[in-house]
Amino acid sequence: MSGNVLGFLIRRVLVAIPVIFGLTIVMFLLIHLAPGDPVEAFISPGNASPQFIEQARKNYGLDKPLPVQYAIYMSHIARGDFGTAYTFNGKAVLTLIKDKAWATIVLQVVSIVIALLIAIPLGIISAVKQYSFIDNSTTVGAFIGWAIPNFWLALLLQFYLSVKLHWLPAISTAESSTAFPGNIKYFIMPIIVLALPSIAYFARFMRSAMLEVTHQDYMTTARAKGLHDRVVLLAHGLRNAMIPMVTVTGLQVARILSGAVIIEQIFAWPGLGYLAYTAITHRDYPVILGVTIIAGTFVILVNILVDVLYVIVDPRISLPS
Amino acid sequence: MRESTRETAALSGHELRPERSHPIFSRFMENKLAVAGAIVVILFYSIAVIAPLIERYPYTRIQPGYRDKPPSAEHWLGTDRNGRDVYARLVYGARISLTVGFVAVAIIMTIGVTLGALAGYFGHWVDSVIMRFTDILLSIPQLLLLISAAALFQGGLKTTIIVIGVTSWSGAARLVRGQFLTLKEQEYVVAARTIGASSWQIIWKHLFPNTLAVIIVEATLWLSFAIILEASLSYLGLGVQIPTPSWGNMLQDGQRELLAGAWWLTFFPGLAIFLVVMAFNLMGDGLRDAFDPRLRNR
Repeated sequence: MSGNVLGFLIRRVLVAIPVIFGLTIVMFLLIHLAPGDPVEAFISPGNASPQFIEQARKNYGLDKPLPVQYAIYMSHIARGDFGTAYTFNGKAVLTLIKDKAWATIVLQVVSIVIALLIAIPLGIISAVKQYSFIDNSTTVGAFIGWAIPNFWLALLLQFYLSVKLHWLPAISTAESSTAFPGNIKYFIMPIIVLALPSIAYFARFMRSAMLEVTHQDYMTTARAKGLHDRVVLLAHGLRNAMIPMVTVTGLQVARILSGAVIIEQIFAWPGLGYLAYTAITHRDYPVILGVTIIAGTFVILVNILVDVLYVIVDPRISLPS
Repeated sequence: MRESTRETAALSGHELRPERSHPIFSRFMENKLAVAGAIVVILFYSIAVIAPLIERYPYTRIQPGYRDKPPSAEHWLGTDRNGRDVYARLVYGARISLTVGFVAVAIIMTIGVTLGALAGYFGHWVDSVIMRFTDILLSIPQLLLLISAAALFQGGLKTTIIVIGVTSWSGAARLVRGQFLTLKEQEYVVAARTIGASSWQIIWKHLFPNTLAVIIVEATLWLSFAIILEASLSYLGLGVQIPTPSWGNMLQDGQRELLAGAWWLTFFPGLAIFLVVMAFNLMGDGLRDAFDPRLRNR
């Protein structure tokens, strides 16, 4: 059994390797085929002589043909070197990412955990008491929570809770703002904004998973054995309904960096999304490449992890040989 | 493994089951929320079409002395920093935002359906190549890819549309591929092949029509995503550029004034995005249920 799982894991990793390579090629091409030049973007135009620009291009290796640049880049990556940033005081890309990752991870993990804690009970109650007031409110609330644009919600919260009521700080002011739980007041608004769509998504999914489970034969059997309805639901139903939740949570975890870009921009949150956005607007190629490649690899790894977890928690799934 | 489980789920979710006695249309009309969604969608598209007739003031007109005025009888939704009428910009913004959504989804669906159909029908290496490319695209966080592309190719209306279209087709491709994979094994397709129908005929006459329901539902839901993506890009200053109004760049333009209390600059464009996205979602859900009533209440 566990040997099976290990084989499955190895196969998934092998399939993932060309995808990671493809990812680096796509990002490399995108960045280098786009019009414009990073050197001109960070050297104020007009001030520098053509010779100076030429020299700068040479220093960054931008004068070499693309395939050569790519090969050099990949050989550096293989040694764990993602290069140094053009901006950000020329720090190493990996150092920048390490410095910023924590703020993003704390915020996103807390948001997802809170979303799960709220959504799972909501989903269960909705399914058990189908068409009740709670169920209908959850359905409507899920539609609203899913459709509400996160940047708009963030602005509204900033307006009411900070500008009008002075309850919470509008934006984080320093790196130390992201200390959890010490500086929780900086966390509240970003968490609300991030958790709301996740709650909507998780709750709807939990509800349908529970409904699906309720109609399974083993549930009827358990009831026929004379077990109390509640016992059947919680002991047999819930455990099985939680299985698909693993996938959905994984998908949401894989999505965190997309969500981070906008939220961190609005709340001046010093995380990876902020780093990525700043790098992109400054055409800082090494940082853009580093962040997207690491983020993409993270997504691929999360997907593999979810697949493996899925196989482990649900022994009914037969592994493709 | 999970991939195929997901696909099966998607299949049972979307498969078209025509029932002569119960037309899809009447089933859709029974769903009040979905009908409400459809009405809101039609309303917004109508506003976009007749924008020049109902704008009241030219949306670019800068009125001195009208900086950040709150809503009034004169300016229904107030004015912005430059004394421009927010209502006029909102109505014109509907034109821009809905057009971006519509054209981007047309691109998404064209690429997604074509590649998904090729992968599903021909299988083998065609499938492998297309699916690996889909995996690559799905692995890059979408907003990150989107803002990279938008920033590198310089923002603007056309760039925004193309960038959203070209980076978002992977979901549609997977969906259509899954449909084609099951459908091509069905007896009527095998029969068609036996009597010598060409691949093109099978794809176009047999497989495509039976995938249409899935495609329509997917396209409806993507209309809402595309509008959100446009708004996100424009909000970050990388999408549609001022002075062309889009709901996203109105939010961006207005947020500076929000701290000074000028809430109308951000409230109304955001509300418009929210309503349209919600309406498309309700409509898409209703369509899915109408195409496949077994899925009701899931």
